[in-house]
Amino acid sequence: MSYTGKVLRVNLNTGDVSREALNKDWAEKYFGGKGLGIKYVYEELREGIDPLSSANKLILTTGPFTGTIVPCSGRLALAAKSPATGTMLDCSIGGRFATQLKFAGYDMLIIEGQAENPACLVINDDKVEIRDASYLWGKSIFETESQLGEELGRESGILSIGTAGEKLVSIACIGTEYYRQAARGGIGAVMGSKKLKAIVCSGSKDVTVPDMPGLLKLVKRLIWEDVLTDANLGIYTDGTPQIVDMSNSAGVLPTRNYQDGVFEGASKINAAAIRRLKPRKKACPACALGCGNYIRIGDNAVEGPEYETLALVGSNCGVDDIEAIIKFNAECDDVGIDTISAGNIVGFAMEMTERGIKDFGIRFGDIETYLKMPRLIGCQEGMGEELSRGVRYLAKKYGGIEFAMEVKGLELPGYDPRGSWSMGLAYATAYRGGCHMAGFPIASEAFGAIDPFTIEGKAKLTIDAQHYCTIKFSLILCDFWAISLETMSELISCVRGREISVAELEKAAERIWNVGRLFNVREGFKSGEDTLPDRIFKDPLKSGTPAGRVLPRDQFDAMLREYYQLRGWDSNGIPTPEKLKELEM
Amino acid sequence: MKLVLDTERCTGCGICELVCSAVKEGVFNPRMACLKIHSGYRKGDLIVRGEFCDLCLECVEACPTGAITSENGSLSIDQESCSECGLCVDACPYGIINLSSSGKLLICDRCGGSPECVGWCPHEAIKKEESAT
Amino acid sequence: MVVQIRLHGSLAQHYAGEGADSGNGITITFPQKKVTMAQVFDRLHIPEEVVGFVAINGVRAAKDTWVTDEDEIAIFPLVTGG
Repeated sequence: MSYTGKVLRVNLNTGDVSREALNKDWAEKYFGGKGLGIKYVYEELREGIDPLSSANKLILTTGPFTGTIVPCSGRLALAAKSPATGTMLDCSIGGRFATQLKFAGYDMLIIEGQAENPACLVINDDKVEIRDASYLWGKSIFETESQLGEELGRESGILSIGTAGEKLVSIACIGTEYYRQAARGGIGAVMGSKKLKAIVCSGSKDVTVPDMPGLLKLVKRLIWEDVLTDANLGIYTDGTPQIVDMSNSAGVLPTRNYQDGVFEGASKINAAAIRRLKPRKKACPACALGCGNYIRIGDNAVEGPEYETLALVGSNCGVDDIEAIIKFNAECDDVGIDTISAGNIVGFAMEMTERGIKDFGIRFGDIETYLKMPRLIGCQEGMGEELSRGVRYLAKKYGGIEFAMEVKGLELPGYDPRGSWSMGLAYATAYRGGCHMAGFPIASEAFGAIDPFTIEGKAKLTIDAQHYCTIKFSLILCDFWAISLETMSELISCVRGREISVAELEKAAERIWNVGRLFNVREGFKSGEDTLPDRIFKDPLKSGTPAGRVLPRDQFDAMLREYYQLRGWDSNGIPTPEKLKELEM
Repeated sequence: MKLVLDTERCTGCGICELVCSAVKEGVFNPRMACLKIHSGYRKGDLIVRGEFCDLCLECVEACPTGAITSENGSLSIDQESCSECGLCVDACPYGIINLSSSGKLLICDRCGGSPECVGWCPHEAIKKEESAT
Repeated sequence: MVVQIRLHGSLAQHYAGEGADSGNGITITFPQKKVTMAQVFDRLHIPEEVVGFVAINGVRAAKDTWVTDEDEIAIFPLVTGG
């Protein structure tokens, strides 16, 4: 049925491969994907482990919709303890791995321990092998995929790391289908620390649902009435680059290390600029939209650049040359590092150099040096070795802490909180650090009708946004379908063969969110870490809509207090026993 | 009736494969679909290709019991006459004939004139071309 | 009064006609000296519920802001993530 009921567990220390029953009680309460993955991480890891040690686990989770025709369901959730932040970490990746894992008969893959020699895990339905991958060690993501696709079939799902993951770089990512990544929080370093170069999966089994005719009828209606609509089609016609003009108009586009929120070169890196390059569209399995923009310029190809890359690697570095951004993007994808953190780090290095605090030899807009950065950082060569440690480390060592744009050690993504106060709260409270995917309240605020420059109602707005994303990424559905909770309820009820109400989904979302929080509390995180860089509180933006504004510290504090209160946490941000009881945890 | 893939419109979502196996066999399994969509990167380049039944009739020739016949521009299957020998599966040059686990022969029969894959493709990438025969 | 409109994202395809993109402006003339955004939406046949936000002359504008002669208006659809 919608769950296979089977978890595949691989121990790289012992070489043991075992199958066990999926915890049904947890599946009922946490659904799958993000929620179920972090629940397993929380329960299976003891506190205080070194995320790069054999005690960490890499847990890959599908959801009840995976492998079915439910639109926009073809994504995989990954969870572990983060090497970059020490927090709970969950990531998401598109491409075919999730569906292949489900067709192979597994809801979840748990990878434990560390291999002694570089290994490649190969899954073919019931046949699971840990193969030697020494011949692949040192290869980039593109080379690795090409090689494995050749050997094991191009229709397989392949996850691999590049040099960055092998070297345990804190911003290392995992790549699939060349151009898709699970990128944040050092997820690639977790895989690298296990000496796991790649995972290849191919499945031939059936995925079934209790009411096939009912589901087909429901989905057919939804695809045409709810997916292929104005609200969602922008992601097909333009992709995420449509956000460049939005951010610029709202004054939140990170420019020159967040010194401003309006970039004079925005029109050179926006959706129109991307469209001129004539992208070919690419979708994940079962996606009726298709956000991927495949672009080739000379020797460089990307599926992208995505908005985050255009912002952090473009405007944030003072670069308006779309070809240079594409080249930087492609290098990051190949060596295997997160473009958000990479762009943020390079922007920081540029400001440090220009201010004369520390000469990293690079200034805003210096394309020649900038293009060397992905390899230097990913391979930890020259100054790349230090840069690869992230802005928190760099600021501690050299200064510039006021403008080290990170929360909990995770570099901030492409929305300036001074122009969207709810995003400030979202960044401060996401359990994996400065993240825009944990909750996206800006959509109805600075990008919608709600006043960005007040704290009124923002705590509730942010909590609702976080719960929305949480349940969506646990069922698993892609961000880009603006699906309502009611429709999620309709779909999950049909696929599970029983009524699952919106209230049940909301409760599960809150439960899942609290698991992430409890993990961090257990690791010793304090409410002081629910904060933002000084620049946000002290440096006014210069241009556009939020010109002259900061997010005032006292306002932020009040917003955070209300957030804790509404969440039923104590004044230290710790979930109370009453709240945990209410959530049946 | 020929089915043709517009490779510029196809995003590789595979909804067509899922609906085919769903309608024919009541399961989601792209390997059981009577069409194949390849959409992926080879050496970094996007390659898109679709394989549909093009009425080469190798299966009709291979079938020892006459369970597969061709008429009016599509194949039809007499499940009763099928001996589950699997010769048609081997004969199909595209590998899009399958014997399901329940012993049912899954062959593209154009869904009786209104192919599901055509109807479900979100970007109208699968086109029907009425052939002369 | 004359205003320049740019429709972004999927709005461009639907309301500015085939082939229009956010690179092309639409020019609209109104007989009044000032109009509300609602009147602009009406003129373009855009239902309010598909609109995310509006920027007038590069600055995010509340929906009840007046639109006057020579204003440049950018209309963005509602989005989810990025």
